[in-house]
Amino acid sequence: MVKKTPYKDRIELLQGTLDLLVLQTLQWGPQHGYGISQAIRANSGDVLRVDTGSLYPALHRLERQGWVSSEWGVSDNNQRVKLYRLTAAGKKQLFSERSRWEQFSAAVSRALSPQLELEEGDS
Amino acid sequence: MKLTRRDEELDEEIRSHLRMAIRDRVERGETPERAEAAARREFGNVGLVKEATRGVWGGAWLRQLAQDLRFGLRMLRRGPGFTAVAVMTLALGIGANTAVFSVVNAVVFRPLPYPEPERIVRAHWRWFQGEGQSVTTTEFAFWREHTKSFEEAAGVSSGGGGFNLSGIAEPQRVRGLRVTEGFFRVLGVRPALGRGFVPEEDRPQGPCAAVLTDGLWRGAFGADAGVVGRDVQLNGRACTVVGVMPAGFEYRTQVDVLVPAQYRIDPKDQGHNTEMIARLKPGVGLEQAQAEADALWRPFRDAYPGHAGEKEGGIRLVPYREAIVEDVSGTLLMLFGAVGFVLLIACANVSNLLIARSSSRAGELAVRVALGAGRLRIVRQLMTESLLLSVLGGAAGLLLATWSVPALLALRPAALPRAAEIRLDSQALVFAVLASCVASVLFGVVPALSAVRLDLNKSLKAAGRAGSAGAGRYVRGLLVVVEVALSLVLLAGAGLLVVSFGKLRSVSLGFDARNLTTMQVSLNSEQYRTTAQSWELQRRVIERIRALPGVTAVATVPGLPLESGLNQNPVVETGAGKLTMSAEARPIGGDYFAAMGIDVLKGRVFGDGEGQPVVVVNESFARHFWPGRDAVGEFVTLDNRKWQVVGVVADIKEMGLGRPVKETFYYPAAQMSDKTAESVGRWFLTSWLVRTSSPVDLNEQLRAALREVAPELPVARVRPMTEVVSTSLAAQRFVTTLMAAYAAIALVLTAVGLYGVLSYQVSQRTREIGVRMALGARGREVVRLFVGQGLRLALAGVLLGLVGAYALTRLMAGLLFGVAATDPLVFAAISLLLLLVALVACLIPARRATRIDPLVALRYE
Repeated sequence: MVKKTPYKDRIELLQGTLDLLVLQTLQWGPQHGYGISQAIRANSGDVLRVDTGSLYPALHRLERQGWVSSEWGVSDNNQRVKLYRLTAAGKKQLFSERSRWEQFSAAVSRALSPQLELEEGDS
Repeated sequence: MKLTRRDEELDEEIRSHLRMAIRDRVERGETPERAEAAARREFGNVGLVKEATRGVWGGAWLRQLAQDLRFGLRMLRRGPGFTAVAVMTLALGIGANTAVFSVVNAVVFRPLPYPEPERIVRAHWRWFQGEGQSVTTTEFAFWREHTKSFEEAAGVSSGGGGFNLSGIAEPQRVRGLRVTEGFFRVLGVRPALGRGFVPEEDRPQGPCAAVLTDGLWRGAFGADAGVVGRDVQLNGRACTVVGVMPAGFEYRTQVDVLVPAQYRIDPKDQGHNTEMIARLKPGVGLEQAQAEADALWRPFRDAYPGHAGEKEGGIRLVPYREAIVEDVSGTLLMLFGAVGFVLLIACANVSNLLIARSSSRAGELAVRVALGAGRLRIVRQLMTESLLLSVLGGAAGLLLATWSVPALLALRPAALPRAAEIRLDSQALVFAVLASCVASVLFGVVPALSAVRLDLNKSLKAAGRAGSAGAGRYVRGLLVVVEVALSLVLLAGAGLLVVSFGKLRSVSLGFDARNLTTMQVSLNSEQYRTTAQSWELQRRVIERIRALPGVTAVATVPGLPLESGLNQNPVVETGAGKLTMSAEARPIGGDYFAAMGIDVLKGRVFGDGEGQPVVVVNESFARHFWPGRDAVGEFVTLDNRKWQVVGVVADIKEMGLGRPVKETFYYPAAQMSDKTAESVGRWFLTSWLVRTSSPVDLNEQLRAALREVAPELPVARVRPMTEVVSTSLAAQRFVTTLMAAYAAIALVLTAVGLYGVLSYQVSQRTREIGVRMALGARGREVVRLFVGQGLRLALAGVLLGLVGAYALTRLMAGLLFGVAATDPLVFAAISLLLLLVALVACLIPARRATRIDPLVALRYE
């Protein structure tokens, strides 16, 4: 198997995080896989790059779980594309995932905060 | 592979992703070509993405399995030679294991075919000379009456060689058992028709009743439902059929008819001829029952003064299943272990074949990885191929087992208990399936793992040229070492058994089995109860046989050497006082010592006209009671009479070729007490022994001689003595034959394995050999290179195997005769044999290497 070259400037996404980002992206309206990956990349200031090998399994899994639905539609330039749409259950899931994430990131920040304050003091 | 709609949609989804990515790049100003390449690179491995996405669909597992199976079948079809060898190897291993499993399972593991079989026990008699598997009728009656732990107890006695069944269309000899009326309740099996015995039928002189087994009922009575109440004759005595046992009823060995035991409880009868079985009350454990039985020994001794001098005694309760298989379970489990080794060797061989193949498939695998197959997926694919192989091997193995189970049954010793239960059943089928699965893991896992460890780039570059798996070579070498080691253990076991069997066969019998014919007849009949009646018949038949041409000596004896014999307890007057001991007693008629060919060492022997009570003793008897003195002239007391010793004869191996000789005394059959005559008639077949000057078939003449004297008596069997000797070795022959067969299979498989590894290396190193030869290496050096390599592996295996054999063969010490379990000569010989076979297996491919033409070799790919 091909060895992966390390991407220093890229952050590997955890599975749960990717799900959250996908659901968040779909909040703005139906989108296709390419669009989702571009949106995540753009919204994260080009820091988060979504590996297609994770994205498509995630989309199909979310669909199986009933959080997104899919249909074939037409893109801006008249191409047949598969569009994913957030379902009502997905909205609920997004809400709870997001609050969990906020709790998680707040907790991590708190745990790291002494150092952060020191740095702030220096500047 | 067929694409489903979902697959097509996924393809389209990914295609549209790529199209959009390319379009975006082109819009940003890249050339279409560069845009496409960049987009593809960014997307990653399309196959892998698809595979990962399909993985989250439901049923992915099943779909991949179907795909793997289809692909696996195609691969197997593409290499028919490989497939055939692998399947045949596995079939040998799985087939042999399944066959032995069905024997071991039926005899050792499967519960007895009775309800709550764990509550059934057998009582063994303990006394100062050891332990016997049967009790006297007195002992039976005492413990049956007093042991409260028994829900029911029963006595079982052999039919004394069977019954003559008449009063039906065609009289026939049937196998019978005498059982007390509790028999049916102990086993928990009721007759399907009619009833069991009632107490009135189980009394001495009670009416004769008979319970038929299903087989006899169908065979001789046409499954007549009205058979109950019908009168038949057993040994000339009128009996009423009172019941028919359900189909499938067995008691250890096959039985045709059951009759009431009708024991006469006589404390003077010291014959331990009753098998006592009992059913424990529910909730009563073995220890509790044993404690109660132990407590009964003293009351018993007090009640029967005949046991006054004995310190220990009483019954030991043994779980019934254990009691009947304890003699054979060790041997059978050893065979099972041995045949397991054969399967391991077969697996090692197939493993080796697979590694060789997977290294030539390295290119293919590398391409598949490049196209997006995950590493796990490849392992799964290879394991599926292994599973396919082992399923095919298992199916062929089952076929092999269906042939070999009857062969095993034909070879089995007659004494093997529960043999009628041996068959290839659903449990054997399950075993075969399990063995196949385990085998596939055993032989598949190493090749699969070593296949995916290969370096992708190297393999892709080398694709087409046979792969270069250094790790594979190491693993293959290791497999061969293990194979050789396992074979050595098997060969050591087989070698020891063969040597031991040879020693047994060359044991000096002490008598001459050649030109000696035996005829056995049951005198268990009202007409031959007394000594006078029985002896008169024996004498008249002897006279008729003596008149036959070529006959040089004729004799009679109860039982037969190597099969069964009478025990009596003479009181012997030694220098140190009177001694009582159980000894082998032989009331003989005619010219016994001449007929058997036993040497007379001292004094004289007696003839039929002997008027005085005299005995002849064997050497062991003389040595035991009168060490350092002349036995002739001494006295023994038997049946309240004094008998004088008139002669000493040589010991004969009549307890078994591998067993010590027992103290034996001989006295004239005409002088046997009536009581002894009656029990001899009941428990033993009477044998006529006929010596001839040359080998002749006397079958018809002997039967005719008996017919003329007693037309109503059926002959049990006529056999040459050599056959009796040979039958006595049946158990050893069975084990030895099987072990030798397994060892032979192991040897062949190992040779094939070594040959395979070396041939493969020769083909891998064709170029190198070509270079060496071009540079002037001689053929001999090339041969030495490869043979040296092969022999190093073999030698490592032999050393490892010797350690294993040293540890394992001692487990079979009990089966060996005249050879130690770690006999250095046997170990050395089989090591040499194995190395020799290894040498041949290496020489063939090595010599092929020398025929390589350097020019061709250098151009070789």
